[in-house]
Amino acid sequence: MTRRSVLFVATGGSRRRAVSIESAEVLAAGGRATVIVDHLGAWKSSALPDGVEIVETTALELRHWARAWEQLLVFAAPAFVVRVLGRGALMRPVTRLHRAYLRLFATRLHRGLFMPVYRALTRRVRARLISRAVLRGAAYDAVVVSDPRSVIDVAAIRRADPYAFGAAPLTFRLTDAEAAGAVGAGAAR
Amino acid sequence: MVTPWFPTNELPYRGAFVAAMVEAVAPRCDRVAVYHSDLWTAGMSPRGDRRAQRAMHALAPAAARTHRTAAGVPVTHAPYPIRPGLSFAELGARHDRALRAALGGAPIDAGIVHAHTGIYSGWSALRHMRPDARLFVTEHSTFVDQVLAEPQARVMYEEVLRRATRFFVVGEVPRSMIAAAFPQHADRIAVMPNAIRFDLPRPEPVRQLRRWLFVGHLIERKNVAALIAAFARCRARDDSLTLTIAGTGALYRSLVTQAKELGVADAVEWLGAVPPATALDLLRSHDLLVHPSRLETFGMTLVEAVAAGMPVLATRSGGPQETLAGIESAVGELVDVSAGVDGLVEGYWRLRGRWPDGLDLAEGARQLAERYGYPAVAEAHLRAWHGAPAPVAVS
Repeated sequence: MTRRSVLFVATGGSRRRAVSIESAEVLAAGGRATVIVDHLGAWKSSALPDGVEIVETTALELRHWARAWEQLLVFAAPAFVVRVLGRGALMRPVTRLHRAYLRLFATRLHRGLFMPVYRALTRRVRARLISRAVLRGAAYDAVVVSDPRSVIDVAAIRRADPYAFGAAPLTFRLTDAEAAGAVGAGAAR
Repeated sequence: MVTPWFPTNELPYRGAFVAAMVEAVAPRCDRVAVYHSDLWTAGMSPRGDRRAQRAMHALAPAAARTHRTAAGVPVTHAPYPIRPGLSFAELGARHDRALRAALGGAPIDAGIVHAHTGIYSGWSALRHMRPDARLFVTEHSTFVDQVLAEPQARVMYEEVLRRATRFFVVGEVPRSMIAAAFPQHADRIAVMPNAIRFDLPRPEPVRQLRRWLFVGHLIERKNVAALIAAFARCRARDDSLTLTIAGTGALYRSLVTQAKELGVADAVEWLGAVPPATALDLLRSHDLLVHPSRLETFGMTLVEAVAAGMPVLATRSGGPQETLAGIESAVGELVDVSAGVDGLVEGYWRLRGRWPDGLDLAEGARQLAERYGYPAVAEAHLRAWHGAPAPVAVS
């Protein structure tokens, strides 16, 4: 039996239990499971099994120039200023000011304005980042589309490049035989 | 079969009754196929919701896949996105779109279509049946009254009732709700029970009523807070009591806190959601099923418990007093919902006082098997589909 490689796209994280179970089944059958998540923090309550390769899209997005600049200007630069100025007698007031800045301005700007606008304007970028990081040079035996957010992402990737997933069949759920690698995914239909 | 509920890895207990019905009738049919329209909930804006629907229509033809159950029945899993807060009419429409996406525009290739629930699968099945097909519907929902309170959903429901060849309910609770809303169709609504397995032996008989078990959602309607309060009071008199809770739900955290506050946290085991097979194993390894629900249309777990050779302590929440009619005292204790925690506590000690000679679990199981066993329920379905007598098995 060949070692099967299955990609789980779970960027919405709304069906974590299913992804955990099915990726564990792939590993148990001697296969390789890669899971794309938005950010791993949301998965604390239903941890992915050991051995799963995890790719975080938030980390991928930070490589994009717009996110990188936002991080630099809104978060990193003020933090640097705080480190430089916040010494001696100034440490407490500067730290307090920085906390207030993060709470009242930076976080609100990031969540309320920047990210919605960024996501709306860079849908193709997101698809391209995922493609580059996960699909380029990799050959998967099946791609599991796990939740509504993932449906949007996978459709965008396919729209950008109809051959992005190669010959790997898409599915919403692995059959037992697919998880065990007993049959080709297409044969289970 | 067209159903909005069927066990999946994400929700392994949801639709266990549909899976049981399929398992019961499949050996008596030439061909059975299941279409499961599975609504995937995600917190999305209306715009994101529209995008997800468009994307699903693009992917579904390639990704909708057919699996086989342990009994070899093909199940086509047809997911579709939703966001919280949609109306019942919209949810019915989403089930319709899920089925459309999975079928790729083709009609369901069957002369008999049996749909579970009126507004969801009944409505969608009507739109995808062959012109010569006949529709049968079984309503299981506890929330029929909420569905019928929505004007558009009510119109949809009436259409399903009018066009269905036969319309079934699993108990008196949904029957009375539907009959009150549509008195013109009241005489067309019949009861069709859920199917229960009675052929799984218990390794060891129950000896003492110490290991309590609850199986179900951790939601308000299931009244689990009253169960934990009653358990704490009973455990104060007998510290050997334990409680196992199998299920998940919105109340999980508050219930864990309640158990801690009442000092019984170390006696309560939380298993989370378990698949139907595991639930049946749990019934065979515990002493007492406690079912404190405020409203049940059937109370399937109670019958499964008796089938597993264990007594039950349940509330008179609609379904239980129907399903256990005539054998209540033989299989356990029923208490009024309004009696609350006191009722459960008193019911437990009454039951313990009668145990074991005051009960007759074997006779209770025999009578329930005649009503809800796989052969009985399969026969009832075949009679409904084909008219009496039921055809001879062909597969």
